[in-house]
Amino acid sequence: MNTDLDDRIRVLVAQELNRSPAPPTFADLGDYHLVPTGPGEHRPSRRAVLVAFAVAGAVVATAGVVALTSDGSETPVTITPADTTAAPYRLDIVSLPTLLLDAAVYEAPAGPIEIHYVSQGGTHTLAITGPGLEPIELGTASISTAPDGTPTVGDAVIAHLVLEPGTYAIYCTIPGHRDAGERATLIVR
Amino acid sequence: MNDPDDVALYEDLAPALIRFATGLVGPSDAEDVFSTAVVHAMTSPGWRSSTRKRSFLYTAVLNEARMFHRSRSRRRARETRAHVAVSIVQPEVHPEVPAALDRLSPRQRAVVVLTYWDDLTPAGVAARIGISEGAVRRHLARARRTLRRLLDEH
Repeated sequence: MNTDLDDRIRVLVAQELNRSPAPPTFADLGDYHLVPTGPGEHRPSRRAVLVAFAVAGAVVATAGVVALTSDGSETPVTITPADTTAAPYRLDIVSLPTLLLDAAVYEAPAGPIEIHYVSQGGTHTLAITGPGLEPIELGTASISTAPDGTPTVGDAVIAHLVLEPGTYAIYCTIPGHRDAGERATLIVR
Repeated sequence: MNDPDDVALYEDLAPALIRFATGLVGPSDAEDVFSTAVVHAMTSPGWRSSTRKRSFLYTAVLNEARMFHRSRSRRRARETRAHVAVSIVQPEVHPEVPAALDRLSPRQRAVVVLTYWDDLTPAGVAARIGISEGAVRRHLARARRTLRRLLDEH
């Protein structure tokens, strides 16, 4: 045994592990539902494709899908014809006024997915990055205001995607929100 | 996911498990890898009947880290191939891991962390992550060789 080498490795490991974040509480692992995918179910190509985007009903005017570019500008995401061979899986994601999402982990089957994104308070966005997917951002999910001025739950921003299996990061792009906890993992199987 | 025994086990193991994840993927991605692995493990068909839940969780974290590294490798390969005019912001591609540890495979990193942080013997490491003792010794030897070379360069 090379004691000197062992000591140096021990220091290296300790330095790294001392930077470990605190674990989330058990409750913060979030509720999520597991949707099994059988061998006969639809499997998309490895390339995830943004197939369509629509905004439901009377959506807030600022809603939209944009691609994030290096200079910070926003360019429209190319829309291709929707895959109609399989019914999309609906995934609801909620931004909370406390700068959190309503779950730490979301799960969905691979293939067409319909993300319904709403805010329960405050202005938020939802960026999605992951395997084979050009980073996209669902536009602001602002809350609506009732005629008497009372804030209400925002209208859903709906995105239709086809996702390959993998782990995706989702988070709010508004400065500070992600670090405050408005982020989660989307597991696609 | 709400079994009181699971909650108690989680509270007991979570600090060590997330440190283990940090050793495998770095502090930036540790929480995601850790959370995903725990949720997968505790909702998997074999969880209820498992008699070695500690090992089950450690193995789940290691498997998730391996999936993370494969995914990251594929992403980097794609980015290398694609010389697009407008680059796309990729906020997830730079985990903050020391270069030396980053040169090891996930299994080598797991063996190194459990050996040098948890002070486990090769037999203990083998039991913790479900590989043979011989495999532990091989991974450790290769990891030490790589680290010696990298550390001697500095």
